[in-house]
Amino acid sequence: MNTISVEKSCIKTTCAYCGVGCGVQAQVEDVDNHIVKIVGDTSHPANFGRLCSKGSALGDTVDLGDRLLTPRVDGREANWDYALDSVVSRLRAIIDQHGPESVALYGSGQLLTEDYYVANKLMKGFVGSSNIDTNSRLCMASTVAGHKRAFGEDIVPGCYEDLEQAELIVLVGSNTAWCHPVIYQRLQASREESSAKKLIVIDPRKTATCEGADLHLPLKPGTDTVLFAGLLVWLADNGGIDNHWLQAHTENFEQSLDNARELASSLDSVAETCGLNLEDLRTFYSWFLKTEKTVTAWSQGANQGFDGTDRVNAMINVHLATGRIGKPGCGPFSLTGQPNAMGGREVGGLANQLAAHMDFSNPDDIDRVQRFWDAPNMVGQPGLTAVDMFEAMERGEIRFVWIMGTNPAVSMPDAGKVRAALEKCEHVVVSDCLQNTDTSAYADILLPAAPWSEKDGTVTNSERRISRQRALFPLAGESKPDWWILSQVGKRLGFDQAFDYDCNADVFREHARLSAFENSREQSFRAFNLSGLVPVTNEQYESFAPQIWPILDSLESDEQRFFAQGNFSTPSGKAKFIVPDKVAGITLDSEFPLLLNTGRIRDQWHTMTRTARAVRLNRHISEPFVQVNPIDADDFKLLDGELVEVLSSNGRAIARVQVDSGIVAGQLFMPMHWTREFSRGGLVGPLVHNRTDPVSRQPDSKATPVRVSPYKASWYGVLISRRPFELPEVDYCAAVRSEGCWRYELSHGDGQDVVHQLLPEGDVISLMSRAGMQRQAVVVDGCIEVLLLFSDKPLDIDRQWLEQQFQGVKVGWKVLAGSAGSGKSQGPVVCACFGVSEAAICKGIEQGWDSVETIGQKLNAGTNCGSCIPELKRYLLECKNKLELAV
Amino acid sequence: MKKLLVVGNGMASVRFLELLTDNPEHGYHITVLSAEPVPGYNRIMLSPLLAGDLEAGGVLLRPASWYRERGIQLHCGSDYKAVEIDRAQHLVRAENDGLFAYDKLILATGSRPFIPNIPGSDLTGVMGFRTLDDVEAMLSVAKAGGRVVVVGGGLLGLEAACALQSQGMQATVVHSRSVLMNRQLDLDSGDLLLKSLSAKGLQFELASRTVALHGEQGIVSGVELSSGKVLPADLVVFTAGIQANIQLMQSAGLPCDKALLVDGFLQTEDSAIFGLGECVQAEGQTFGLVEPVYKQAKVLADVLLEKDVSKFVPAETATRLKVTGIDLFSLGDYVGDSPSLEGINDELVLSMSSRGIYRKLVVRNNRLKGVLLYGDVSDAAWYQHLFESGQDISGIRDLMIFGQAYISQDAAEAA
Repeated sequence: MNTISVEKSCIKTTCAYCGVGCGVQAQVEDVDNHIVKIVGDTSHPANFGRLCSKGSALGDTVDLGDRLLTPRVDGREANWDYALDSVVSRLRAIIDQHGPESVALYGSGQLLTEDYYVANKLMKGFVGSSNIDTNSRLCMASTVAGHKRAFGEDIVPGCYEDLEQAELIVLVGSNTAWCHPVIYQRLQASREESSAKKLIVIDPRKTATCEGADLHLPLKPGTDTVLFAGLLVWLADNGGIDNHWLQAHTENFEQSLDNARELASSLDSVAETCGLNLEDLRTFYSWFLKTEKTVTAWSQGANQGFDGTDRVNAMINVHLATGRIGKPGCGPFSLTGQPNAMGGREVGGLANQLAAHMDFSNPDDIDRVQRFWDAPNMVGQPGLTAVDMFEAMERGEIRFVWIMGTNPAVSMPDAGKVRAALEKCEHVVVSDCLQNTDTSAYADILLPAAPWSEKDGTVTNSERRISRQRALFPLAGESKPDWWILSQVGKRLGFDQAFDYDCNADVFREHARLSAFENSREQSFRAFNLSGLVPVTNEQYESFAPQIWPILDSLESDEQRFFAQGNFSTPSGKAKFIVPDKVAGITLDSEFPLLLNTGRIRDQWHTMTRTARAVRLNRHISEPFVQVNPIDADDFKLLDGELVEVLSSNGRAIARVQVDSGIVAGQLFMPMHWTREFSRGGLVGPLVHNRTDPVSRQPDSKATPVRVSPYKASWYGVLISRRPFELPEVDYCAAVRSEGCWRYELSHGDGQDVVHQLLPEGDVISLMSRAGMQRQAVVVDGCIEVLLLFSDKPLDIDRQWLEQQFQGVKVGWKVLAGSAGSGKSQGPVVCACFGVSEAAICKGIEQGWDSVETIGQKLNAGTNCGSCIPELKRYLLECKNKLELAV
Repeated sequence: MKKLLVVGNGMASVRFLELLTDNPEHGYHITVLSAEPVPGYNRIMLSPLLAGDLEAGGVLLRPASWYRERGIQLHCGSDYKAVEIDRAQHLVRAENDGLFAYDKLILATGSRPFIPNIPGSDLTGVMGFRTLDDVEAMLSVAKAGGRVVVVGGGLLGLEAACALQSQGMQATVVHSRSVLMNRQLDLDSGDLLLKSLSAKGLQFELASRTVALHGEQGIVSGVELSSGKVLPADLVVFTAGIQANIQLMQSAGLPCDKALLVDGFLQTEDSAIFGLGECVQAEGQTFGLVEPVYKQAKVLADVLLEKDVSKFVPAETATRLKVTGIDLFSLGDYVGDSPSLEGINDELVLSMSSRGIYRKLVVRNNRLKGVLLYGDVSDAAWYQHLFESGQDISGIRDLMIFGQAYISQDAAEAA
C-alpha cells in the first residue's frame, strides 16, 4: 500500500536570505519528501509578492540531503541528553579552570530573534561572558556604531516606502540589483512612474546596479568619508543647510563642518582624493542640494571599511544638515545583509551591546538588565568582537567556543588564521543544520539545529519590520530549535527558572517585556520598545502580521519613521554630527600594488551552504572568479577565462579571470561565497587582511592590498560525475552542483595525477593524444557515469551541454568532444528563474527584439524576480553596438 | 569506325565501357571478350552472395541487353578467352580460334588468387575466392557443414570466413601477421576486429604460415601450419593475395614486371595497346582496390575520346570498406608510432571498445598524414580532403577527431 502522505497547506513565512525580509508563501506539497512550492507573499509589505532568484529557489534547498540529523560528540552519534551534558560539563570545566572570559559564542544573523535572545541572556547573564558576537559584525557593525554615535541608539529612521517616494536615491557601496534585488525592483518600478526621479550609484565597481543609474561615481576605495564631508561643505556653502532644524535637533555641527573643510577643502581636492571626474562630482552635489526628498542608502561597501563608522556618520551628517530625516521620501537608510541581523541588534546579541538597545556605557543599564534577568553572573564590560575573538582563540585565551548557524572558517577575514584558531581551541561546539560545512570540520560537538524550513519565530528586516518566520515541515530527525538547545544548556548549568520556556512565544514575550522594562526618558529611554507586544497570546503570536517597531500600546505600529521631530535617543535628545579630523589612508607598495574588493554575486548567498543546493542558482556564475580591468590584465599578462594567482600578505587564492572594464584599474574583485566544501584555491577569506574599523571593529573586507599573476598550471581538468566526489587536494578546484551531476573544474601546478584514481568501473571511452590531451568517460548501460577531460591548456567545452548528457540520455563516443558540435554554446544562464541562456537572449536581440519587455514576452526572462534586468539591458546595448559596427 | 577490342569484362572494363559509351559520339566499334560465362559482375558483392544475403542475379553490373543497347558486341564464356595477340596484324585469337581485329586493344585481364606452391595445393577443395564459379563451388561444400580454413586474414578472407560460418561451417582464419587486415588496421583496431569476429564463432591462427595441405583420396583434409599444428579442413580458401593475369601479354612480347607495364595514359609500349585494371603496373605499383582501377577507367576513356586528360597517378588511396558489417576507412600512415614529437607531430587515438569504435589520426609537421576509422567512418571524406590538401591543421587538431561539425568556421578557415 502506498503510504506517502500528501498534505497541502499554505504557510506564510519570510525568506531565508538577505535583510529585505520578503514575505514568502509556501505551499507544502509533500511533507515527507520536503516538496514545497514557493511564491512571494503578495500581502507582505516588504515585497508585495516579488521574490528574487534566490528566494524563488528556496524550495530547491530544503531537501534532507547532507542534513545533520543527530547530535554528535567526538565524532560519534549521541542522544540529546548526552550531547547537552557534554556541552555543559566541558563548558563548566573551562569556566572553573580559566574563567568565563575564556568562553565565546559566535552566532549568526540568521538566528531568529528568540534564539538570539536566549543566547545573549545565557552568555551575558549566566555564563558571565560578553564574548558573544555574530557574523553581523562582518556586515552591519559600522552602521550600528554610526547610528549610536549620531542618534544615541541603533535605529534605521526610515522605511522602504521612502525609497519609492524619494526623488533622488544615492546608493553607496551597494550592488542592490544583485544583493537586495526586490528593493532594487521596487526602486526601479517607482522610477518608471516618475521620470524625474534620479538614481546615483557610488561604488568603485561598475556593478549591475549601475546599469539603470543616472550617474555612477566610481570613487577610490576608502574615500567615502571625504566624499560626504565634501558634500557637507558644499551644502554649507550653497545654502543647503536647514538651520532652523539643525539648531533645534542637532549638536556638534560647527566642529564637524570645520573638520569637513579640512578633509575636503575644495571641489577639486575632493575630486582628486576620490578619483572622480569634477563634473560628475558637481552633478552629485547639486542634485543632492536641490532635492529635498533624498534617500542615501548603503550596504557593505560602506560598512566593511577601515573607517566604516565614519562613513556611516558622514552620510547621516548630510541628512541631519538638511533635516531630511524621518520624513516621507527622506533619510539615511542602511540595507542589511542578513534576514535577522536587525533582530540580533534589537536583542543586543553583539559583544559591545548589552541587551535590548541598552549599553555597557551606562552602569544603570547593566543593573537594570541584571535585575530583569535575575542574573547571577552579570557581565559588566564589552566582550571580544569577531576578529578579536578568533585572535584570542589563536592565542589560547578562548578555550570554548559555540558557533551557531554560520561558517566563520570561510567568512572571516584572514580565514586561514581562523582555521588555525579553531584547530587550536579546546572545545568547539557547532550548531548547524548541515553536517559538512568548513566550520563543522573543527567541531567536537555537533548539534543538529532546525533549518530555515523547520524553525519558527520572528525576524526583523532592514526597515524594522518584525515578521513571523514559520516552520514548513516538522523538525527532521533529532533537530531542535536553537532557543531550545540554548535554554537546555542554561537549565543544565543550574538555571532552571531563568530558562524555563515552554515555547518560542514565551521567549518573545520576555524579549518584548525587556524592551519595555523601565523604558522612559526618566529611567532609560530606548526607542526600541515592544511594550504593545508584551501581552500577546500564543494565538496572537502565531498569527502575528508583519509590523514595524516601535509597537507601544497596542498590537498596531504607532509610526513608521523616527526623528522628523528630533527626539533622538541621546541624553540631550539631539543628534550628533561627527566628522573625523583625518581619514586613515590605504597604502600600497610594489609588493602588493592592487586593492582587492570582495562581495556577493546575484544567485549565491553567503557560504553557499544552501544556495548551491539549488541547481538553477549555480548556472549564472558557477566558479569563483576575479574581475580585472583590461589595463591590469595587460600589465600582468592575464588572459580572460584563465586561472590567476592572487596573493596578499595573509594568503593566496586561485581563481578564473574575468577581464571587465566595469572594475577600475588598480582594483580586483572576488566573490565571497566559495568554501572548501566547493573549492580549492577559490576562497577569498584567506586573502583578506584583518584590518578593522577602530570604532565598530568591523573588518575592512573591501580593500586588501594584493598582487596578481598568471597561474602556471601543468594541467587543466574538468570532471563531471553522477555522484559527488570529495574534492581532491589540487591547487584549484571548483565544484558545481548541476542537474543529475556534479562538475569539478580542476587545475594543478605539478603533473601528479590525483584524479584518475577516482574513475569508477564501467565501459571506457577514451581519447588520448601524444601531445598530452586526455579525455575519458565511463559509461554504464549506455549512460554516462563520469567524464574526465584533461588538457595542458584551459578547456574550451560546452559545460552545460556536457551536464545535460547526465540527464538519462544514452551517450556515444562523441560525448568526449565536449560540445554538441554544430551547435554553439548556450553560454551562462542569465535569468535564473526561467533558466534563459545568454545565447537565446542574444539570438532574439539579433532578430530585432529591442526592449527588456520584448525579451520578457518572448522568453519570460526578467519577468519574475527581475534581478537579471540590468544584464538584459546590457545585452541589448552590446548587441546593438555590435550590429551597428557590423553595418 | 575504328575497331576497339576489350579483353576482359571485370569491374574496370565495365566502368570503362560505361564512361566511353556515355558519349554517343565515341566513334568506336566495340567488341568485348570475356572468359567468364556471364557479363561483368561486381566482385565486391560475392561475399554477400556467399553468405546467402544476395541472389546471384544481383551481382551483375550490367545486363546483356545494356551491351546491345550501347552497340557493344559482348562474347562471354571460356570459348572467348583471349589466347594470343598478333600485334603485327592487329588481331587477337580466342580459345575457339576466332580472330578479332582491332585498331585499339584494351587488355583488362584482371588477376587470380595467389595459391602458393606447397604440397597439396592441387587437392580438390582448395580454391581461391574471386569468381561466381568459386562461390558456387564453396557453397556446394558448405551444404554438408564441416570445417573451412581460410588462408589470409585480409578483407576478402574475413568476408569469406564469415560467409561460410554463416552457411554452417566452422571457419578458421590463418593469417601470417599478428594483426588482421594489417594493410588497413593497426594493432588496436585489429584487436577490436578480432574480438568482434571471435564473438561470431570464427577461430584464428595469427602469425602463422601454411606449409602444407593434407588430403585423403585427392580431397583436402587438413592444413599444416609452420608450428606443426594441423587444422582439419573440408575446404581451404586462399585469400592471401592476387597475381596479375599476364601470360597473354608476356607471350605477345609486351614488357611486363609484376604486371603489364603502362604509362600515365595506360598505354603499353605498343601504342595501339592499353592496359587496364588489376593486370597493369604503373609507376611500380599494382592495383587491387576498386578506387584506383576506376580512376584508370576514367583516364583511359578520356584518352580514347581524345579529350584533354591528366595522367593517371597512383595516389595514396584511402581504403573504405565494410567488413562483415563493420565500416572501415584507412588512409596514409595509419600506424603512426612516430618516435619524435617536438610539438608538431601528434597522434590522436579515440576508442570506445564496448561499441567497437576506434579512430586514429596521425599528424606530422601539423599536417594530417594518416587516418584510421573503425566502426564509424563518418567524416571520412573530410579527412581525405584534409589529407590530400596537406593544409596546416594545428588550429583544429584537438577536436578534428570528432568530425567537421566540431570545428568552428573560424578555426577551419584559420587552419
